Parts: sequence; structure tokens; C-alpha cells
Amino acid sequence: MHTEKEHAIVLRNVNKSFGGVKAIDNVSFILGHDKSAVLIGPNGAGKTTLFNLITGEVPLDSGEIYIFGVDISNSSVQKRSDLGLARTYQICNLFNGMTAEENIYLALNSNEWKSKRNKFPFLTPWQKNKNKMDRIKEVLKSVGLEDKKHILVGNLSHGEQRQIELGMAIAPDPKIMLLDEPMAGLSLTERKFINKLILKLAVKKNIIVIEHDIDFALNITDNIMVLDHGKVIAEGSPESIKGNVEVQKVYKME
Amino acid sequence: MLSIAPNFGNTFIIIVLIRIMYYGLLTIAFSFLASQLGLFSLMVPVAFGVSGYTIAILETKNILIFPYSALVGIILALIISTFLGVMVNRSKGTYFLMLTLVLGQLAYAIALQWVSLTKGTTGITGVNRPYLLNIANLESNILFYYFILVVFIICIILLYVLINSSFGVKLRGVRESESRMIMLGYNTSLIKWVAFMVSSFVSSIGGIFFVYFIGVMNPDAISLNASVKVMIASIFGGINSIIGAIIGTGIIKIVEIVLSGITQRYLLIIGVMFLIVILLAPNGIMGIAERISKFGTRFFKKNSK
Repeated sequence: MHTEKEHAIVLRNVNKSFGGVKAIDNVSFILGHDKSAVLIGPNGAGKTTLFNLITGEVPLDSGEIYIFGVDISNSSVQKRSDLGLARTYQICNLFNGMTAEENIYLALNSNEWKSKRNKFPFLTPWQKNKNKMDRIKEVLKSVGLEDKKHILVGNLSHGEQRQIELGMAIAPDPKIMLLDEPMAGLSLTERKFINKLILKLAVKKNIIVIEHDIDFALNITDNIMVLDHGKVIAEGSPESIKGNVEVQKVYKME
Repeated sequence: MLSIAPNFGNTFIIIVLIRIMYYGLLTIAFSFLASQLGLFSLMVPVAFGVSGYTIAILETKNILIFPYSALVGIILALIISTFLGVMVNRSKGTYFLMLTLVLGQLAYAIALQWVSLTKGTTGITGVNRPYLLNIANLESNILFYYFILVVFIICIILLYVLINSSFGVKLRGVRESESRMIMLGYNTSLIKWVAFMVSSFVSSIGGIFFVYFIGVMNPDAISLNASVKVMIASIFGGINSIIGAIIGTGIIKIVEIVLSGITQRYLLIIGVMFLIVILLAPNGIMGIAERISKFGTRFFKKNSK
């Protein structure tokens, strides 16, 4: 369809089951090119699975996924990240035994950051790639960790690891960012910091965020999607979601 | 220091150093995988054995002589490693260890039982040292020593350059979190396979020197015992560094050679030493050295204040 070029993400009749459990049940949605969305839903609703399907970590059972009009339903993870897709993880999945700098370095894998002149990548020290090193400095500065670049990530605090996680997502300058509970397990001050950070980074990017803290989520966008048992049960503005009978049933609101 | 050693030393020291170097090549091949990828391969000696056996067979049957036989040996070792690498690529941790154990034992069994080719337990004897391009006669230990020293240093430099390159960072990334590497769009199987091939290459070079120096190639060189010795030497020196692997091999070999002249129970002493190192310094000799240097700097800082 010609209109899909204008949309950032299009999911059409996406299905995924694990054994007999339908994790994602016929989900379709469209994210416009300048839109962001918040994904909410009870535990086990399939939010993270949906992310895994979009990024390609888990293969689809059936359905179609488009990013900027390109059919990526069966594409490799590499191709999807080259198209400008990046994500963070609910549980920090970092390279703990490596420095902050090296973590960001590994995140810079999309074609844009591959040095063109370097004919012997096996023989040149990795710090010699000026293009990437400048970007690493920039990224670490933007997430507020420029003075910790030589520290092993495993030795950083949980909040700082979250910052690295975010840094790795923004490093290749993606167009679409999938944030999986970016503030899980953080203190109030840390939440405020990450909140500000995401708002700063979110400029001109499509973001889908899984977040239980609605106040924060509404800072980014007022486009909410509710997922339950693998189905989209409601979509729209906060007011319409609050008024939705099914959502009230799921969240047992009085 | 190593380059001038022959001027002072007697033949015995030169022989010890040569042995340390070809076993050292085997150990750094193991250590490279263990430190950079976190994979403990018990089939590192397979490439060592393949190149050794190839040379022994080609030379004793008068098919090819030195530079060509060694070349064929390396190529054959790499071809076999290609398949082995693909096979073990998907596993990690304990499963990787078990799989490499099985494949290593398979190679050992072939060497042991394919008598028409490998002459079984006796092994192939009478491999003469080469006339290198008809210029230098490697019969003399000193020339052999310099030859292996040059190759040894080149291998170490090669590995260091590799570890410091972007490829090295990727290797460590796979070690720390393979799932994240896949998500970032890296082809982790290819990365692991290349590392495996590098390790096999270094190991096969060790095999060349082994067979030319000893003159005999028998299945003992690739037995489980050999794999375990490599692992012990590597852990002894410090699994996280190449230097550690060399130091570990050096100490183990020297102790083995010196003690085996005194008592038959030298393996027991090595075992106790190994136990002490594991219990007191999980990072091996290099870990101890690191601790001492840290303590030293702290001590001097305190005193200067």
C-alpha cells in the first residue's frame, strides 16, 4: 500500500504463540511518522514480546511488519537496525565486563558509523576510529556519563546502567526507539533525571515506550495503547482510555 | 632478554625455552578463546595435531619438504577447524566444553586407530629438521631457537593487535552478552568462528615446531591429557591475558622438566601448586602480579604523603 511509506511502524495481523499460549493475538496498529506511543497493560500482556517481534529477536508466526514502508516481517535484526530501529531492555542487558566507552562503541554498528577508509579493521586499534570516538563522547555526554567512560559497566549503579542502556539506544541515531520500562527500579530523583533525558533525546524520533508511570509517559505523548492477553483492547487519548469499559475491567478501576 | 639467552645458556636451557615456546603457542591459542570469548576449548590441540601429523606423514613419505609441508599442514588444520568451528559455534559454557571434549577425543581416537596412516600408538618417527630454504641448517638448536622465537613473537603481536582492534571489542561483546550483540545486529556466529580460526592457526603453528623439534608425532600430543595440561597452564598463569598464558606454560614446563629429573611424583607437586593458585589467586599469576603492583602503588602513595 502506498500510504504505508508515511508511517513509521505498521503492524498487520501479527500473531505469536509460545506453545499453546497466544502471546500476541492478531495485533494491528499504525504509528504515524511523527507519532509516539505508550504501551501499557498488566504483567504478561505481551508488551515485551511485541517489542521482540518488531526488533526481530523473536520470529513472527504470521502477519506483517513495516518500518517506513519497508516490509521487514522476515528481515534480520541487522537490517532492521540499519533502517533505524533501536531498543532498550527491561532488565539491563549490558556488556558488564567492558567499559562504558566500549559499550557505546559496540552500539555504533549501523552502516553510517562504519569507517570508510579503514581497510584493515583487524589491525587498527579500535580507539583509532575518530568518527566513532567523537560520537561516543557525544553520546556519553548527552546521558551524563562523560566522566565514567573508563569504568566497567558492571561497577556502575543501577541508575547509571539505565543511562548507558539509553545511550546505547541513541548512539546510532535511530529513527525509532523502543523503550522497555526505562525507569524500572529507579528512585524518584533518578526517575526525574531519566525522564528529562528521554524528553531531550526524544526530539524528532518515534518512540514506543512501555511504562507504568502514566504521568511520565504522558510527557512524551498522549497516544496510549492498552494490551491485554496479547490483544490491543484500547487505543487513543488518556480520557478515552479511562472511559473504556474493558480497560476498567482489566485494571479493576472503580 | 630471550634473544640473547643462547649466548650464555647451555643447550639444556635452549631446549627448555624451545619447549616452552611451542607449548606456549598452544596455550595462547587456548587462552585467546578463553579470555576474549569466555569459551574453554578442549580441542585446541586438534589443530596442533593435524599440522604435526600432516608434516610427519609428508616428510617421512618423501612427498613434500619443509616450507611446503608446513604450509600444507597449516592449511589442512584450518580446513578441519572450519568444520569443527561451525559445529561448536552454537554452543557455549558447559556445552561448549563438552562438545569440544568429544571432538578432541574423536581426533585422538582417529590418530590412535588409523594405524596405516598414523602408525597408532608408536607414532611417526624420524621427522628430520628442515634445511630452511637451503640457507640455514636448523639441525643446530640455536638456529631453531631463533626461528621459533621470531615466529612466537610475531604470533603474540598478531594476537595483541587483534585484541586491541574493533574485532577484539566485538569478541568481548560476545563474551559479555551474546543476545545483546545479536540485537545490535552483529553476526555473532561469524565473529566466534573467526576467533576460533585464529586460535586454530596459532595452535597449528605450534604443531609445526613440535614435530620438527621432537622428530616424533604420536597421539599423546593431542590426548585429553594434553588438553587439560594446556588448560591448567593457562589458568595457572591467569586466564585473562596472553602474557599469563605464556608465564603459566613457562612455570609448568620448567617445574615439570626440573622435577621429573628428581622425582616421579612431579605431577602431584604440580597439582598442589595448581590448587594453591586456584584457591588463593583465582586470576592466576597475573592476578597476583596485579595485586602486588596495586599494593605497591598504594604503599608508595601513602609514603610519599
